[in-house]
Amino acid sequence: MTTHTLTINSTTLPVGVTTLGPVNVGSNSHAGISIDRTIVGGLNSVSASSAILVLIQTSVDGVTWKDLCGATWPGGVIVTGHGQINTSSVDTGDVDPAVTKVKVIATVTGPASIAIAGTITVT
Amino acid sequence: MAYVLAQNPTAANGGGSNSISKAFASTVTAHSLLVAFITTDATAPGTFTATGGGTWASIAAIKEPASTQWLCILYCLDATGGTAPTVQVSWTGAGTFNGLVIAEFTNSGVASFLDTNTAGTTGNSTTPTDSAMTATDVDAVVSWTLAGAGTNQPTVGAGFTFGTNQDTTDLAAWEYKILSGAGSVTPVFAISASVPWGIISAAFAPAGAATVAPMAPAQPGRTWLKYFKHRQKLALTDASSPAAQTLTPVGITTNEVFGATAVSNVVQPLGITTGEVLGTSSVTSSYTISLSAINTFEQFGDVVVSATVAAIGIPSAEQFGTTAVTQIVSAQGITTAERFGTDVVTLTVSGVGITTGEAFGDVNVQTVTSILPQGITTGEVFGNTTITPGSVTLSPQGIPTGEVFGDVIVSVGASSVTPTGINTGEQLGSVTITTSTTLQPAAITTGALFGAVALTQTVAAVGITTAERFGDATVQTVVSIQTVGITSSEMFGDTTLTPGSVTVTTVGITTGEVLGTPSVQVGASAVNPQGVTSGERLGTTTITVGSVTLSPTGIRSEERFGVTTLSGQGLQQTLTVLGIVTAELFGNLNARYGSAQVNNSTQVAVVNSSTQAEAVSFSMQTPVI
Repeated sequence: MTTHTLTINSTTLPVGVTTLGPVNVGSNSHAGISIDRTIVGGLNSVSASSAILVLIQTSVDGVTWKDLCGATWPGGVIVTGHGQINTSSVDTGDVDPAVTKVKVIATVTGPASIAIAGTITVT
Repeated sequence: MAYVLAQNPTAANGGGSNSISKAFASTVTAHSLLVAFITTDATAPGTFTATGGGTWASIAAIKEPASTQWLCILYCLDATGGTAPTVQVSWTGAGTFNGLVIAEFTNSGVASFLDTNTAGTTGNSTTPTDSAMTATDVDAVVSWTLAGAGTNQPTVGAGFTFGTNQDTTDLAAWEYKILSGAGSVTPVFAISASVPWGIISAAFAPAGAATVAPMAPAQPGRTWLKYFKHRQKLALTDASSPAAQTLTPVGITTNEVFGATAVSNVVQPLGITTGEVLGTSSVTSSYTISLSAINTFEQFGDVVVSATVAAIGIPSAEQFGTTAVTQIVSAQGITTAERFGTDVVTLTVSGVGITTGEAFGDVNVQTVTSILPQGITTGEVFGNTTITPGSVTLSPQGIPTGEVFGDVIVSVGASSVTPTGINTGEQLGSVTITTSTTLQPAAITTGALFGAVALTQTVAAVGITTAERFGDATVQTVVSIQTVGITSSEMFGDTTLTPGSVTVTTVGITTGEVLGTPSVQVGASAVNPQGVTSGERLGTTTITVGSVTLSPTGIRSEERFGVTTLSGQGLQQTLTVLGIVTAELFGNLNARYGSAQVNNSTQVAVVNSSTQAEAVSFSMQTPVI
């Protein structure tokens, strides 16, 4: 089992759908994405009306894609009982060992684009 | 017919999210029971919602206080089936630690209903245990727990089957139990170390299962088969969901606020009635100096100067009443743990004097002053001399014949009385000096009012505006107002009494004797007659002298005029009147039948008369001697 990592350099996602990846993988069982909210133009710097909806998809043949997991990351500075949130992520198991590719569908909602930087990791 | 756990994918975790989605790995069977277990530490997640694979609902969430993680169970009672749906659970506000676990229970294609559920329980032990539930059928009981601290994952409790862990961070897990029939069930987990925990559970029953009465085949054959088939169909089509429930929470929903709270104050300063004023204050002082009968070695008698200040109003020693302000704010209702907003209580007390109208009590200022002139030590005595300021009458008595007054000088203004030569034994009369003084203290003018006392208080309770009632909350504020100025128990300050100046300067005591130092002390005023020294003056005395009558009685009896008669015609007589040494005029001289001549040293008067009866008048004046 090899760990596959796709580094997402700081990039600005426009309003709408952007595909990150795919990442070529194999014999993996776990996949996830994590981004830094604190970068310039990142989630912490935009209003709460903005958000990124991410959906991790897997494919065995590179043609047909299947949802794995996802999350919605709202904009704005968010503080919980565990402090300020500076990282947004989503990950799960259940990756079919036959999966060869993993990609992330990122949908930006809200009035403005949002910058992200992070990694897609498949293990 | 019994529930079977069809699939249970690995949990999905999504930090910094307000929704997580997780896809079933396999196709979901139609009418399956889908269950989602969610946890988040979002501050106020509100109601959890879910989409994907059918219609979802949720039971009320519970918060594990140590980790601030919320736990909630969502369910889809009648899955659409035919796909491997992605279930997305959403909430309000993002959480740092969020996890989602989904599961599918099949039950022979029969839909389900929520049979019962718990409100959730929190505790601190090694056995997270929920409240007992009473199941009505062959329920699928699911329970969701989270360890609020430590590193140990919850494990399955007695009688249950382990589902999955959420992840190693949130230390959450779920388990389930398939009941064989109606009965009570108590979900329980196990944790290897005692830690804070939260647990929440639900039981799902096959829809319509309890309403289908077992039917014994009465008669075999087509009719029975048809009837049986019909009943089965009825059973299947009667898989109705439980009726919608209405939850009427009693109390105050979060974020609701009170409306305005009105607070009114009543200030009742006790004691001085509004509108009343001080009475008229007046001070009247009178002074009486009485000199009487100062004989040798005698002294002046007591001179009493008394002043009375009578301020009308507040009697001495009386106090102002107590001014009390009592304020009670009774906000009705709040008993919940909900928080108010910011309560602002502003209290302003503006004591601008006293507007009440009670009069001041009596203020008595009394000054007693004594004048003790000292020291007339000569052997001389005053005669009976009466001195009346404004009118002075000197009535010397008893001057023996032959004695004479000396020069008597009486002048008014810077007056002096210099009787000379009053022999021993003579006495002066009484000397009376009366002075009137009016004192009006200028402190509190008659009619003046104290200012108003105003108390303004505003209580602005920010918060609950709904009609919901909180429990009983009582806010009580006690305010005391102490008027500044005339403190209770204090009286008026010093009253200054300044009588007019009084100076007594007796002039003319010619002896070498001196008066002592009499003093008159009235308030801040002093009367110090000084300087009756051997020289001999009293101070300046204002004496108004009236008319003076002198009645000398010293013409001796034997020196009276008699009747002078001239007789004998042709005779010449000389009449010499002795003793009249003044410039007095004589009366008429009558001469009959002849002439009369009156000679004195400087004048000759001749009177001729032709008849006896004729009277010839003439006059002469004696020379001034």
